[in-house]
Amino acid sequence: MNAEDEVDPALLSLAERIAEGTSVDPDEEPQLAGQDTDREVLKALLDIAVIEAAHRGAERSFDRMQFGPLEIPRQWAHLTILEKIGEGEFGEVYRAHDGKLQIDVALKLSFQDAGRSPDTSKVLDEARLLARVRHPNVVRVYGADEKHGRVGLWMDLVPGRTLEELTRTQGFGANEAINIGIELCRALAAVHSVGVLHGDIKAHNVIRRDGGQIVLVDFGAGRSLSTRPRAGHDVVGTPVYLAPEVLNSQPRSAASDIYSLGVLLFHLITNDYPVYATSRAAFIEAHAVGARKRLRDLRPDVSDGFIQVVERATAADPHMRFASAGAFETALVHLLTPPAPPPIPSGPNWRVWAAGIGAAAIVAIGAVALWSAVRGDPSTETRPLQTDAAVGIDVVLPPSDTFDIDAAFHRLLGSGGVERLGSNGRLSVDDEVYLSVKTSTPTYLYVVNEDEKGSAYLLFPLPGDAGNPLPPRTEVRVPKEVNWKVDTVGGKEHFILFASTERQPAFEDGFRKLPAPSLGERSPLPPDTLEMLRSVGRLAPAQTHDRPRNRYRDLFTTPLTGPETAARGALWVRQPTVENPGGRR
Amino acid sequence: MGVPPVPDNVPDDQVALERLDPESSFALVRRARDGDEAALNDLFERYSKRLRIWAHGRLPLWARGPADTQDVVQDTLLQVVRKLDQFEPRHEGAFLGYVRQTLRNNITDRIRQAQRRGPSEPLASSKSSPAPSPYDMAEASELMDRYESALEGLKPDQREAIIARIELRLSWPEVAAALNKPSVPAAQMAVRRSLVRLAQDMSHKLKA
Repeated sequence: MNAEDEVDPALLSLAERIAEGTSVDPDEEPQLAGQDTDREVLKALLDIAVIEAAHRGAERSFDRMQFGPLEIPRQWAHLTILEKIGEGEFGEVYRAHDGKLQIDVALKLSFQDAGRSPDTSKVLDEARLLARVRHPNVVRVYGADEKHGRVGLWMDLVPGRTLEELTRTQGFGANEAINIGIELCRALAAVHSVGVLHGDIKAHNVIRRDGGQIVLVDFGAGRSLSTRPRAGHDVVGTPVYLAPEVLNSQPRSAASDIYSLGVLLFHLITNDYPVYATSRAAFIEAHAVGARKRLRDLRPDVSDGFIQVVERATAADPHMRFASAGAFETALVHLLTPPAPPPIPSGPNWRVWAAGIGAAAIVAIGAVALWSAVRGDPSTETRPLQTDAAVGIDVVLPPSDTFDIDAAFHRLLGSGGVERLGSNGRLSVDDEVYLSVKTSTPTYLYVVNEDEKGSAYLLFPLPGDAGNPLPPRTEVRVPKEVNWKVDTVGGKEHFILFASTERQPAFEDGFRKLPAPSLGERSPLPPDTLEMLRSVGRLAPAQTHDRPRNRYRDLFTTPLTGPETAARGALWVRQPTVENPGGRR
Repeated sequence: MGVPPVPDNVPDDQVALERLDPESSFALVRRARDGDEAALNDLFERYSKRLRIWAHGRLPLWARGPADTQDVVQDTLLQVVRKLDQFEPRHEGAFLGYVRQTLRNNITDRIRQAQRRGPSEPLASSKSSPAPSPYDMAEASELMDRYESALEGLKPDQREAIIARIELRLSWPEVAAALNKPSVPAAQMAVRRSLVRLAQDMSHKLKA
């Protein structure tokens, strides 16, 4: 065997699949390769796979030109096919009648030769996960199956126009883009919550339904059906929506979906893209050297806040982006709310914590108030979000897209009574407080307290607490059996409250690193968890490391304002602040 | 170099190869060059459709009609056969590469001519294309430049392997015949190794 014969088996294996015309997943290949595999050669092979797929596509196109369109089947699985409504490289789209559901659906059916793809079971698995998603901003997938050698996915028919068509024909204003972004963040959060990445967020894949609702379509599952060049390569020369790490053959992630959504918002108001090049290699280079267009240069008229949000979503470093679709949404919603109050001046340094007092475990803290009650007011169903009066845009949340949350901090009074703490409430040393929360749906709650030195502590959930999710439709006391006790004096008490209908695994992973927290004792959050939480919040300044003080309260400046309706799947972040001026009551 | 003999110990699983045509492309080309019309016809039959598909993918959408591809491929094959005696000394073992290069040149000429005339509706047509064809990619991408350049730098037999399987999408028995390999597995291994070699060269060009 000479030196030339010694070819890396991983490369040979990929070459074999290319030669067989098997679909190749650029996301997975780098993971299949061995440690010693030359990554540059692997990338070049993936590029060749794109060229191979283009030739394969040309063959199909040629056959169709020669022999006319394929015969339309009359029946596929339990669906009666009515008419062909579209065609792409992945296959054909039909309007079909679902006799079981008694509705017309869109049936996306792969070409016969999709059987060459090893992805079939993956597609079916992913489609079945998507079928669990019930969200007004996500096209409803009813099911997926493989019959007669063809893989099919049937879903809602969504009448409307794509955002790409609308961008070209009419363009969008910044506030329209924000509202579209909010709906798409919700859609993404819903998709991510079932463990699926979209993978191909772009203006072509978002439909504005007749009537105005924004609907995200064409998921990975649908795309995996494709025998065309796969995502990452699918628009050769113009992968404008692809995050730089994906271009570099790193696996996709929620962060890469967030990047794409950021590019989409950029595109909606500029009809341009932050990074544009004429080849994949040139894109990689442009990202590497930071050659990108700035939104400010293209749209000097839009607000600083919008620019910051888009820049953050499209940060080259995935860790600098919003850590979740919910966090992205929160930032967008903030753009529609009145400006936050000016930063609170630093109070005197204060010792934050004293150990539990008596049997009642206690955390030294200031008070807080969360959301306040849903009082059965029917208007909360479609209550407009607070809006910028100057802009005058109302966002009406679809009822099924929201949940109600009713929460408040309470201070125990010496008389045995309880005082509900409002935004102008006051606390003193030895005050005992607790939080009450009532929600319309099971909710995950996380409570953090920050001291004036910038150290942060987890207050909830701790081992021994009732824990998450909080049960719905009943007033839950947090913490369950003890109170938090104020034992320090300082200018203000800052709490950061995170709530979501979805479990936040990133939080809980961080909290697991805490040194044996126990009920009644504060648990200081380690630096990496702090960073994670900050990134989950909003607008963490790039250079936070050299100014560790009071970072939370600079980041989370939205106070509690009373009863609220929150978006499902999103992360709701509030920072109540209560005066704690010192001196015994 | 003479025509390598077709092995007579073809394994059972290579029946398809035998049924297709045991005669290698080399032999056909030689006979055609020597004026054997049957060989010329065989050659046309063997590659005409594949070359038309290749041309179809390489032509812009507005020039991909059946007549367009048929004409350009027919012209190309006739042109190649007329020049076969020039071809052999320099390109033996690279028939497909030679045909491809000729076809590519012809297509480029036709596109230029058409552009001088002005295409009827290039923009509207290109918008309706659902995915990039090799032509679209070549138009838009430096990837194709890198690919073409690396392909050009391969040894003739390696280039032939890529063209036969990846570009012309020949079946494995056809690839074996085109590459003059004794069996399908031998042809498969040749293609895989050529692909890795091509990728290595492309990655070097990327670095350069």
